[in-house]
Amino acid sequence: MSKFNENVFNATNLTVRKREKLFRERNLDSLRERAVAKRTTSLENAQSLWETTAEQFRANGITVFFADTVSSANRFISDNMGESKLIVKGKSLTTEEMELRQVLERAGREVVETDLGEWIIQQRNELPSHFTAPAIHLSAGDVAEMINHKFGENLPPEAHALTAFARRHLREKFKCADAGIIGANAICADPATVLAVSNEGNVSLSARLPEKLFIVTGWDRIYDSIEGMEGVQRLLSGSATAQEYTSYVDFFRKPLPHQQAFLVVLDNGRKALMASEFSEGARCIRCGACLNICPVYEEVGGHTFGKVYHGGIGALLTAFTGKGRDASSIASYCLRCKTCEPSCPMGIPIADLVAQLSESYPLPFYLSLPLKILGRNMGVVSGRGQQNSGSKSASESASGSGVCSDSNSNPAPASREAVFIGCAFRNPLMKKERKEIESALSRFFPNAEILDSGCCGMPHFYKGQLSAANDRLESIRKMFNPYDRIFLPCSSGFAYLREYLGDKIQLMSVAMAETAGKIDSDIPVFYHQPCHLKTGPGTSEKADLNQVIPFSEWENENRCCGSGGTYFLQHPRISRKILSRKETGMDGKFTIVTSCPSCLLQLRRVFGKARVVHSVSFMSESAHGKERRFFTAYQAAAGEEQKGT
Amino acid sequence: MATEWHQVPQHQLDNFVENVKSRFSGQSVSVVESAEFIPDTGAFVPIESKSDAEILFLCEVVVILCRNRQESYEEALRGGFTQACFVSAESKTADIEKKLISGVHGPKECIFVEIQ
Repeated sequence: MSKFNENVFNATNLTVRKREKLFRERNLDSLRERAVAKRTTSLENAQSLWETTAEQFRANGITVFFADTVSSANRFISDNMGESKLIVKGKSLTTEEMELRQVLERAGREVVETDLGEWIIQQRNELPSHFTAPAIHLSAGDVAEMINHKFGENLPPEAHALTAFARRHLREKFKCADAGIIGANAICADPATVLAVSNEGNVSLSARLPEKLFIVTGWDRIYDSIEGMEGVQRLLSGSATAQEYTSYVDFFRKPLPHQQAFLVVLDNGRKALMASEFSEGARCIRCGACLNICPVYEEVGGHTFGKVYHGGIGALLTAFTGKGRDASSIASYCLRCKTCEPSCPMGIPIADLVAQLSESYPLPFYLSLPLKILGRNMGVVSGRGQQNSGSKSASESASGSGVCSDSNSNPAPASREAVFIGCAFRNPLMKKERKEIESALSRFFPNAEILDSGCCGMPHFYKGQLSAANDRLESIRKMFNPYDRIFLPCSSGFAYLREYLGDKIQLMSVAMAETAGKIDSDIPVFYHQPCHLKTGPGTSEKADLNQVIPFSEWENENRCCGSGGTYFLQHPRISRKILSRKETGMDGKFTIVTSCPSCLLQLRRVFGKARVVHSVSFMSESAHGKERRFFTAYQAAAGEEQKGT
Repeated sequence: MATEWHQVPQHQLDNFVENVKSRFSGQSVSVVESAEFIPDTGAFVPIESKSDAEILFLCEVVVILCRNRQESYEEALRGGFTQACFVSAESKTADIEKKLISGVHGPKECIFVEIQ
């Protein structure tokens, strides 16, 4: 593992642990619902809020400029810089988007980034690689090497010494600067107030010592009230740096007596984002919590998985504020695993939005090829037609008759049930699992009909083939209509269809666990949680299975395996890196149980000596074992029902 | 401790400040008055001039006097001010390998004094 990987991996993991602790201790999750509602309302009323806010700021002596484009914002700032030679600047993603520093430097001005991380990457001529920790990819050794080379120092690779040097160097810049530029995290409309958070104090110094102050913000930063802004500030600080309050929360209403102040409000695609079907993405407060927990980001960092904006949300923001080809490239790295979504303080469905985005910005041909090849083998990609319309009963299936029956010709039981096998089990590599599922049917689902008709449409959805996904969903809806409960062996298909079709969609393994007796195992059994079960109704699968399977504790059970359906074919090296984090710390024999066919194949790549089995297979095999007896209440109940009739 | 909270009776305040100055002998110590504070959380400091900002930030130790207790800084925001800063800790960074370092630009020590 390279040093780069380890820097990003260690830093993001540390922040995630600290953030989880803070949110638990301070109950910050309770702020979310209200904050999201406030943010949404404010965005909906942005036009009128900005009008009244601008009026107040102007009355307070601040010049307000609304810029439609990056070039008009840059031109306004350049024109009003006057004779300013030295400019101190706080960290601001909006100014990165504008390439403002570069524009001012080309005009012969000295612009000094004052956030320590930003200053470091400025010296290295790099872009930030994280929303809130721009130098996250660098080690102390990298920083020492840069300072020693560039400033003729002989500093050790030690954070204290390096920070002390930056303090001395930047203190002089603050004192001598002609102008300061800062970003704003939020603007309150009533009373008109700018809010900016920082830990270092550089924002305060950049804003208050020079004679000219430029505050640059996005059209989407507006809040209708102090309450809305305060709630979001606490969520922002908590999510970004695991603090309820950063060391400094700065507020600006008027220029200081020695100052001339300007507020530049940039649109550059934000209004279009807010008016689009991706409007939920406009709620992003740039906290970076989604990056810290992203299995791809922690392996490749922000220079690969992003440009100005990083990660899945970065793809969306780039599509509206940057270049389409950059958005397409960034989106291609997103696993669509949804690992980030529970961490987002603004409740943005990032994976779904990236999937929708992929319709407008499809994958490059070489990346979409694996899906096409795999899909052809599994009946996935066609999307339209090619569906078996028939169903067969569990007993027919188990007997191997393979005869499709007309479901309407059977007398309808009181509660109609079906098992939808799904396309993953058409994969030749899943032949054994398919047989085991069929074997489980007669034992656990004797009255269920078998719906063996291809794909649920999820792969289409997450590749941005929305029209095909909708077609599939419609035909699935019709197919499932006669049934009260439909069981799926595939956790991904379950999570996807459950969102659209509700409670009638159930996980096959959980249904089996309801009726199965305890399973004894001579070797440790670990549970691997598929990413799509990290949110929504499937989150309790482990707890449900734990009633019958005595799982051993595994620190990495929730960690993504990097499979991502076809991701392991699109980005095999990244996928392999993610997979390598799934260690058990055990040399001996053990079993890993999971409900996702794609995870199953992926895990088998790294756990050669271990047994990696599908949850249905594990329970089905165990049910057949001599020493593992199942008491199948389901069958008993079915028997009772038959007697009754 | 880079951030401290103390409760001090009004009549002992001068002594307390003198003790801080001797404890950090040789370092620049600023004393500022806050408008409001949230106990064990932070204090809201109005900034009306460049020198207010210099006193608060261009020092090595800052002592913030806290007299008006509140539950959040929302009330302070409803009042009138030119600029302000809600201070909850010393100046710090974790930008290099996530190692927490105090005093990156502003004070290395932040001492809140809740005056009784």
